[in-house]
Amino acid sequence: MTACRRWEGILSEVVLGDAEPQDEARFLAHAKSCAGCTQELTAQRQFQAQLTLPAPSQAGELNAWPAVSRRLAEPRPARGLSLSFGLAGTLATALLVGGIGLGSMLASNGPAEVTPGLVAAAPPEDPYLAFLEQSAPLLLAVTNREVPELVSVSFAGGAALEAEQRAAERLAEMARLLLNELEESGRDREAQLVGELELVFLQVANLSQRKDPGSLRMLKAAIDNRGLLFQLTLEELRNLPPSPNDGA
Amino acid sequence: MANPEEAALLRRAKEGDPLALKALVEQHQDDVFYLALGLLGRRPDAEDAMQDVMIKALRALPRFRGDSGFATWLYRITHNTCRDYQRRQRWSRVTDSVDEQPGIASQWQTHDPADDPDRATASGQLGQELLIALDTLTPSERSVFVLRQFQELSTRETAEVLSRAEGSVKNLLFRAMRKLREALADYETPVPQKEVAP
Repeated sequence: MTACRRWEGILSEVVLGDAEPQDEARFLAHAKSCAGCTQELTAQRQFQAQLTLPAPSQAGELNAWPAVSRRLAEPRPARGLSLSFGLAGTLATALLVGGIGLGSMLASNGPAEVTPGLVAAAPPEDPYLAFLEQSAPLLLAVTNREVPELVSVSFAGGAALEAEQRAAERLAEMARLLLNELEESGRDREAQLVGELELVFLQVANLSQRKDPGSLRMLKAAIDNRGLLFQLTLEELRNLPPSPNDGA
Repeated sequence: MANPEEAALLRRAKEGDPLALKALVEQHQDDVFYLALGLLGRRPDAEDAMQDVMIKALRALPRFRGDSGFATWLYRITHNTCRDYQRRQRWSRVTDSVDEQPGIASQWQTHDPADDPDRATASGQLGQELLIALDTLTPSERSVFVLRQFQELSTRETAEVLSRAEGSVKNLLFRAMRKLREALADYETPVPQKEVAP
């Protein structure tokens, strides 16, 4: 038995004693005739009463000022390309809202050649599925490469890798935006997958800055060890059973 | 809005007075650390994040207009900084074995249970388990839970820190509470059937 979805937000406020009086009165009147809400209210109240919040043992012992003042005096590091997501964020938002293809987004945002087959048309429905559609070609492109090839194109600044990195940077930003939506709607499993994909894309986007074979090998090995994302095909992703919270 | 004393301190800090900057750090370091620890779960990360937050805040201080309280502004910087740390943590979970990393409970020792025998039983254990159970929440649920329960911010203040609607904060808190309650079900006593009362 579960609480009514429309009362969920107020229920926790009632438990914490922070609900507006009229909201609390309305909720309690409802709860008298709703076993699910009554049960959840009782359980949350009991949980709240039991909640023992930890106090950090370090409180009062911290002395951050020496390190902070020392660092303040240091010159500021240059901001990295992989963190400059402002423009990409705007474009990614447009993509999510309007269903614009990644290809056109990439093409309109710079002179770099886009590797054929790297981009996919965005399906119009669920942004989550649209994101997976967008992600699949890049994931497959990167996973189908061996480390020596990645190393050589990274050092040479190859056009294919550059295009993949541009795509990865935008996909990472898309993932970040999508994560908020998924978490908001309680689609936890999808959010977890998108979060992991975001990390992969950030790593791919960051490759050229490192120009470090060790980093490339670590990335590849980490993904191989994880044995999850890069072994999934788009069809497998799309065939995942829906989450119980889908459409909520 | 800042009280007159805090406003004066902020004004001096904006002018670069090192004593005022030091005082600001010392006034807020515990709160920032506590929030970072709730969001990140590991003391080394929280300490690093706290330093980063202070650096960012002091450098951005000339742009602080006082539209929100200084603490709220600082919490927002802390939250954003910790989200970056969380992304890095997720990546290190991919690259490293989670089992090799010390757990949250060992990093955030509250007190020796023997010092407080009455709380060393179920509720004390629940406190430690709660820290571990926080990892079951999504980042947004965790942020809302930590800000509401640990920092004791109101719904409005939490919404302001997270740049979310208040309704969204309420729903995220409900989900966080329900998940944590389910994760910690072994530590609960049976739910008594009692009449609903305000």
